Amino acid sequence: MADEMRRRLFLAGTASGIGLAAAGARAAAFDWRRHTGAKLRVVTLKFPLSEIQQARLADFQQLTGISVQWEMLPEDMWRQKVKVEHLGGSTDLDVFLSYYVQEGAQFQQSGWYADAKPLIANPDLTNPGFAWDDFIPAVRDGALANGQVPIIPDRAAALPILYYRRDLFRQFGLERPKTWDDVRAAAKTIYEGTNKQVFGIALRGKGAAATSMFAPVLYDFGGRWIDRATGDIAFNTPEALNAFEWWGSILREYGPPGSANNHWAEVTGIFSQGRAAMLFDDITFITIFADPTKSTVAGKVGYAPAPTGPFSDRWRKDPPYAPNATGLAISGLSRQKEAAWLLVQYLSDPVSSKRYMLQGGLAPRQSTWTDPDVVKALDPEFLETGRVSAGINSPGTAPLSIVNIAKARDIIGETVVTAIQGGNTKASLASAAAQCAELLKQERARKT
Amino acid sequence: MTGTLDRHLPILFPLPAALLAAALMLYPLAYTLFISGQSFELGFRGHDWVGLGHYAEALANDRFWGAAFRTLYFTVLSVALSVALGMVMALILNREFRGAPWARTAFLLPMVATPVATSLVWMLMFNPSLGVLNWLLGLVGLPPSVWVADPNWVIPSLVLVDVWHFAPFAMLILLAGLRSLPASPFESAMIDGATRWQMFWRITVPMLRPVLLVVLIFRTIDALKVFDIIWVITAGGPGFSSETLYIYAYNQAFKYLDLGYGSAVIVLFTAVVAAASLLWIRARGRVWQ
Repeated sequence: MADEMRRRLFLAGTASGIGLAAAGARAAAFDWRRHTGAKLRVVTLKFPLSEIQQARLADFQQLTGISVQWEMLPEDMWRQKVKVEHLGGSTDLDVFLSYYVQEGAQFQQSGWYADAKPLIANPDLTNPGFAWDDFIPAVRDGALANGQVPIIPDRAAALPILYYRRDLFRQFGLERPKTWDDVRAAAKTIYEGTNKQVFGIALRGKGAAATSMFAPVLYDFGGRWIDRATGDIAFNTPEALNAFEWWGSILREYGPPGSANNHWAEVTGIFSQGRAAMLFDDITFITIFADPTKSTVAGKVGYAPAPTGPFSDRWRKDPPYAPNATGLAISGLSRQKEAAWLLVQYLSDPVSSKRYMLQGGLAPRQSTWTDPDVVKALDPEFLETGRVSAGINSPGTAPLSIVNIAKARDIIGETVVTAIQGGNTKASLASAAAQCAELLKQERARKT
Repeated sequence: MTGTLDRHLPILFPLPAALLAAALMLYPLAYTLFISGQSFELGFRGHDWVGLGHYAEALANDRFWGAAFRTLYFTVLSVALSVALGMVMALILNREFRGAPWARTAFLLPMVATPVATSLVWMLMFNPSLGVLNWLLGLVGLPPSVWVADPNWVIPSLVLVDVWHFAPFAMLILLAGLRSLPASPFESAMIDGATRWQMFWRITVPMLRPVLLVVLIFRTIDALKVFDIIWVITAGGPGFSSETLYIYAYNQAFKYLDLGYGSAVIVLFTAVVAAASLLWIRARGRVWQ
């Protein structure tokens, strides 16, 4: 109730801020140079959006006089670095990329995020061109966490999408897959039809890393991480077991060997080198596959929204399960939060949004989706896939009632690996659910 | 006046170094012990004193014991293989032949390479679809393996990397030992008609025992606390199949941000390493008597 109140107040507050901006009175007066001479340090993941943002730093420095040192790291290292620096109380990390669903609850409770809400509402600190109300409403809702805005979303949160090879599907007379059954049938046909030269599908299998892609399959098959009303662990069911076994067996039968060690870097490598007919993974990777210098399948890739299962109707229209923003965050420990905010708002503006979309990402801003350049440049199949996907809320990478999500994901990841190895998935699932329930119980006892 | 100074010199001069050592080693150790007795988990407020609670929790935890077993498995396998291989290489290099200096240099190369960099190369070689190891297996007519992606084979595969890395170290010390052996026992054995095998087991090994123990001590400590190779190649996976105690402690402290429990695991682990070292040092004392 109180949360809902805060949300409304917040929305009203931002709306009036935007109203002021629209009046244009301050537009010309916005002072970009108030922190000239500042030096900021940024740590992000090495991935397409960071590269787009990094390419704009020279312009930013010219505009503001602020210099930026930007580190782009592989996924595991980036995650560790952000945690270790904050743990050590480092005050010289100003801005970092963050995924709220994965670590946000811990970060927020530890004070590692600066709240951007008062910054957005302050016309002295925020350029009118930033236009917070241009963000897709679902994206703005997802960015709100405990009444604060810890992360400025850089993309529309979406379910993973299905990438498929149009040339192979045509060759074998297959239709664009609509259901998980279609996916399995196509994987079999192509794997056997190419004499096992092309894997039917590539999926993540590296324990914890797989759970975020696996979550929609779990829900589509009728499983669920938690009971929404109580937050209790609810994935030790026959429906959930079906989902885990589907994931494990399709990889075992038609997927690349060694799937249990495959993270997104491995599966996108396999797909971009033409070794797999399908890939179910994050939408951002279109940038890799469409680039002929990085991919041997450029021009051959088709896109489909997350296929459906028997229980898809039951959950896909649900409101957000939890805060789920992904994007740049200002460190709560930074000593230069205002200068950092100048950088974050600059990199979250419509220019970045449009460039991101033109590279195949899902822009977080409404104006980008109708931009004539975007509509003209993008594959209609991709635009449709993006639009459908952005309208579905993710059920979360793991049981979101648990604060220590990393631990929960490792525990569940063990079951994913067991399923891929063809081991006793039922026992492993029961054990994982028991461990998560115990973890939740301990956390609840401590939070009081 | 000078007399007082002289008397205190033995304390005064080493004092800065001793203070530095205390600051760099004793303080972190004491602090780790201190937080291992607290509930110190980020995301939860308050630090409560839990005493030995974390130790009891660890000792009752299956994942902890799994990690402990894997640590032992890895250590025994890696120490045995690297010392055996190091011995073979040392015996070969102990003979003079053309190109021996070159061979010595070549054998030492793995030891000087950076573990993280070579681990990345090994990771590529282990790749089941693209790696060179499966291609090599194919050449000799063996079926492909998934190497580090198979829970049963991940530890032996990682041991392979560790042995490749550290066998030259064993070789280096053993070779120095071999060079220092007197020639006369071998000459008289040869006159008495002993075979090479008999000479190795009856003369070389017993005389080399003190050196062998030194190698075993170093290799055991190294293998117990191996981190970089495992972290880079598998990060403890698939699942927890290559999670050793060190990786387990790291995950608790820096992945789950449970610093109290992670510290307790590290303290237990330090005790294991210290115990192993003491055992070996005892054994060495006995051999040298």
